[in-house]
Amino acid sequence: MPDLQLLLIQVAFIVIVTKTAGLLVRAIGQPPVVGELTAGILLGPSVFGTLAPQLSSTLFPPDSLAFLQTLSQVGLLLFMFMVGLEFQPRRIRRYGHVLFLASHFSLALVFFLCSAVSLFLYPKLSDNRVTYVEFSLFLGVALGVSAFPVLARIVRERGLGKSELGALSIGCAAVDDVSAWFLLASILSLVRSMHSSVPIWWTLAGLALFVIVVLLIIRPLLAFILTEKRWKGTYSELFISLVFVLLLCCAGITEWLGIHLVFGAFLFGVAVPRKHGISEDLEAKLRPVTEVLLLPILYAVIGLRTSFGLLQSSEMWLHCALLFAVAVVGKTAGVTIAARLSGVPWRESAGFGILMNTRGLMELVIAKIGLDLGIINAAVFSMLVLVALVTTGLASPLLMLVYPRRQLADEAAEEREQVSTIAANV
Amino acid sequence: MQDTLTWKLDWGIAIRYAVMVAIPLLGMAVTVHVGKDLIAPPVLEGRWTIEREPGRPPSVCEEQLAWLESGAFVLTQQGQFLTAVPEGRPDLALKGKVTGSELRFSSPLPSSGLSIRGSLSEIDGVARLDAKIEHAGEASCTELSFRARHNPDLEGSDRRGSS
Repeated sequence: MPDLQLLLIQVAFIVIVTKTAGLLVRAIGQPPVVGELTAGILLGPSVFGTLAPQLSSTLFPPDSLAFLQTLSQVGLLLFMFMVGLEFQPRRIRRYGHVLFLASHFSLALVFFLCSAVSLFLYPKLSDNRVTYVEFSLFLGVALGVSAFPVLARIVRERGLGKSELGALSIGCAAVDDVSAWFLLASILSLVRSMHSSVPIWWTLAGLALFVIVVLLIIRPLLAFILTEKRWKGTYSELFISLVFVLLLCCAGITEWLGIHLVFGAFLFGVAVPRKHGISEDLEAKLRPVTEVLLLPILYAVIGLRTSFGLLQSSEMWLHCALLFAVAVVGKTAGVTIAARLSGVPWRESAGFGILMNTRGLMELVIAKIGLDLGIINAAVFSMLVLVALVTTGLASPLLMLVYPRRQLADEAAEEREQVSTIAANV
Repeated sequence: MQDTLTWKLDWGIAIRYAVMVAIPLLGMAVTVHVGKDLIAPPVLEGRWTIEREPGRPPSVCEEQLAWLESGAFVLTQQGQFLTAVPEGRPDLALKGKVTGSELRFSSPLPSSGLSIRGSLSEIDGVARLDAKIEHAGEASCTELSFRARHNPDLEGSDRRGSS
């Protein structure tokens, strides 16, 4: 049985620390996730455990972490469901060819670079429980992903929401999300098949069947239920209960398939019909609990498992720098080149590349899955946490360099002028 | 820019997409083919029991003796990077690396000249270490040999199954 009193104190402490840090970094123009994640790391062995080891072990005794871990998994499930809910196919229609090219070229470039650096890193940072192929593919998906929620927030806060740069970035992050989670599911199937008697085709067939059932049966079924006008009012509670039951079933099925619950939660989020504002309604109900209560626990769990002390030598830090370089070059250069070749001007292409380099929580979710499954060890996990933190923190200042506020103001003025000219002509 | 960005599925776009995505993927396939037989260090983490060679005269060197008399040490591993902590003496922790079957440890403290070098072998599926511990700072300290046996039962849990 969990020590309930300790659990309550832990959660309260975590929420206070992470939210305060989020507010502080917001004041210096950074996305709150940077502060919240930093706070999680501060609570871990790297800082809190070193500065106040007694207090740290009293507040976070090792046997209490299992309960925090379980709560964080619930938070992860709800978060991935909300990421799925935020996926809007209409966002990718307008710039489809740019988005698919930018997303898939940058992902392929990151995978190539990861496979190349893994020739050097695998014998140094892994052990013989993991193969080179698993290690390099996993790094590829962890470093190739972009953080849709953080990116959307940066775009909104910088006033880029209505600009082409904003539309390109949000659309591309949506394509990236879907691609990355499908890639992760496939890689996990591969990993599982290499170490168990279950053949890969069995897992992939299960995955394909699951996707078909969710998109072709559950989605139309939910849409049909929503055509009933009575769903509002009393029936909305029933409908939301049905959605939650289906969410838990989908997450459970993908976990059973060996693909991890995040994929089921994400796909079900994508499948929820965008009718009568149901997705907004669900989001509004879930967001406070998830973002204020459960995600901070996830940050703390990640922080408690992150130990920069493991990067014990300059050699380790060089390896970390190499991963950082692969992540930045693969994503920023990949997206910038693809956008430029698709006819997007240089400035927008560079801004687009910088925004897509934001990894935030998405990379951490993938890294945590890798750590849980033993594909990476604690040192590589700590490196990935650092890469996620730094790339997310760099997005706003770098964007300011290539896309200063003056530029935005000029574009807005130009747009207003065009609108007034059209209005005058009419 | 507006015209060039309008969604239009034409052959030019399709070919550009196929070529640009295929080139890095092809590069990845070649790299994966090259690296698929790479070998990472063996799993060494866990508890190692120390077997001192019989008949050795006791050394006057306190740190060496403390290491050997601890009876066992716990190895933590991050790839080829290792930390060895003798049981009950965390102050004598050594940091090291495994390269092939060779292990080398040294003290992270500049004041301590303690170091271990050894080689790994496997007997009946159990990893063994034949090693020498020395104290470079003390001229009177002789090199001491010892053996250590990996206890598979206490090896770090199978990480793959821990999710």
